[in-house]
Amino acid sequence: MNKNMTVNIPLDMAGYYFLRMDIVLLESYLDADQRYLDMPGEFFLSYIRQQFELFKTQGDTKLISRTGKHAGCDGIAFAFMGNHTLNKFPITIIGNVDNKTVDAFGKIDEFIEQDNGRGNMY
Amino acid sequence: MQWQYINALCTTKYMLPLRPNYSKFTCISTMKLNTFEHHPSKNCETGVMSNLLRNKGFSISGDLLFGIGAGIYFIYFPWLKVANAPMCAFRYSPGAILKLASKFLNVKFQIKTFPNVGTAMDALDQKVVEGIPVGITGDLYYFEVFPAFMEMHFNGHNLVVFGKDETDDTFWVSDPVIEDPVKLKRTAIERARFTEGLDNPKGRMYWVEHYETTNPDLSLPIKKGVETTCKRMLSKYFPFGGVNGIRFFAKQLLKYPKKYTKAQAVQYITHFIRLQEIIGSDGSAYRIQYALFLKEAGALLAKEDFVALGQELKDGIVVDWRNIAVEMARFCRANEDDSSARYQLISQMLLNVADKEELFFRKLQIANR
Repeated sequence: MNKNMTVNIPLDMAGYYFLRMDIVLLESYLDADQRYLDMPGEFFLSYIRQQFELFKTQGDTKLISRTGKHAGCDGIAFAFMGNHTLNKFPITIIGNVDNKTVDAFGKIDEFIEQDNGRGNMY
Repeated sequence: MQWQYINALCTTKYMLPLRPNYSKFTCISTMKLNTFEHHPSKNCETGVMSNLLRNKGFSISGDLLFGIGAGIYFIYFPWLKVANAPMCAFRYSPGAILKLASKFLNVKFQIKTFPNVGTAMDALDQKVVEGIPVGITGDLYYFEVFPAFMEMHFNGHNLVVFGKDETDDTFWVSDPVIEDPVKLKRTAIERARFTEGLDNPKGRMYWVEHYETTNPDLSLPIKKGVETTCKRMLSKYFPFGGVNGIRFFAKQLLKYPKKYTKAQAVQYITHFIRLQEIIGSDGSAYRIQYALFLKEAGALLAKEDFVALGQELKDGIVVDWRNIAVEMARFCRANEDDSSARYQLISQMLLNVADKEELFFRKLQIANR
């Protein structure tokens, strides 16, 4: 995770596009010339696109979110899982809920789930 | 974790398994056994209405109710600020769909508001004891049902309360835009039902009071719903609503560079994308839901015109609205000194979609005769 990176997409939109597996709107916000997760933006977006397609092929129509933290990060992290397979999505979002900003993207193996008593977005 | 929690509860005798067949949900609380069928839906208002009617044996989808209640609309009224942005909506006002659909379907919903939180919660407790599932309206933010990144203040969110657990002072609720029923704390419900501002829901609560039949002839309600929709969308007398509203918005957008700073414009345009693609609509400004309504209505009434128009809406106008959202997102991302070309492009796209919608609703008006 690159902590110095800023991501030019509001948190609610990034989260919702992940839930809906909407690569088109995600691409319209994310910059192919930027680096995300230490990857060139183009590779990063292509990786997400592949993963969305994989989840859809396996029968997931949307993703469900989980709230938690990333070790060494202040922001809240959101992980995702398929609504049918319950498979974990490999990318997480780290952001600031108050400012609705995305601080960075993270990896699922660094995600620590925390119960915040909230439900699952359909 | 909520989901694990629900599944852990499912293993007890108190509930039927939620997955894979989680739609039938039985809650035996310490107070009252209420059985409630939870069906997810795209929109909270039509979803709650549909779930309340289904639990009375009146099987009707949220999409049909959206069409019968003439839910689809467009309004841009920049002098009124909502969430620090010019007022814009892609659907008719919250609560209006329920009123109109119930009128056309000849179903009586008892709708009540309350002077204070105490009486509102007493009335809710009473309904749960009586075993009557009720719809309640409140602030989305305080209900705490959505993930934290979706937190926002919106006083028109609806969900169904169908059970209560006195052991931990919680209510079982069915929120139609969420996959499964969840438990909410009493304090969250209290806070959500009475909020500040002009659109304070004042504990709004509603339930099915009376209906004549569970299998009514839907041809007349559908006809009336479509008629109302076309009339509103094509109205010549209100320049801020319907297709004229889209044109007005397109023209106003060209004034943004002079009126607002880039940061303000980005904030407002982000808000439009949010309204169009995220809030309660499943994307494309509720046009997807209206296309589904036309398909379902066409199949029910054997009206091929409706099915064809539903397909036309899905393949054309839905895609156009989505392209507008994509272009708006690109505008927000772009770090340009002069964005006038982008404003021109988005404005032209809006004018095109307004022309297409005008033609579409004229064809729908003819098909509805």
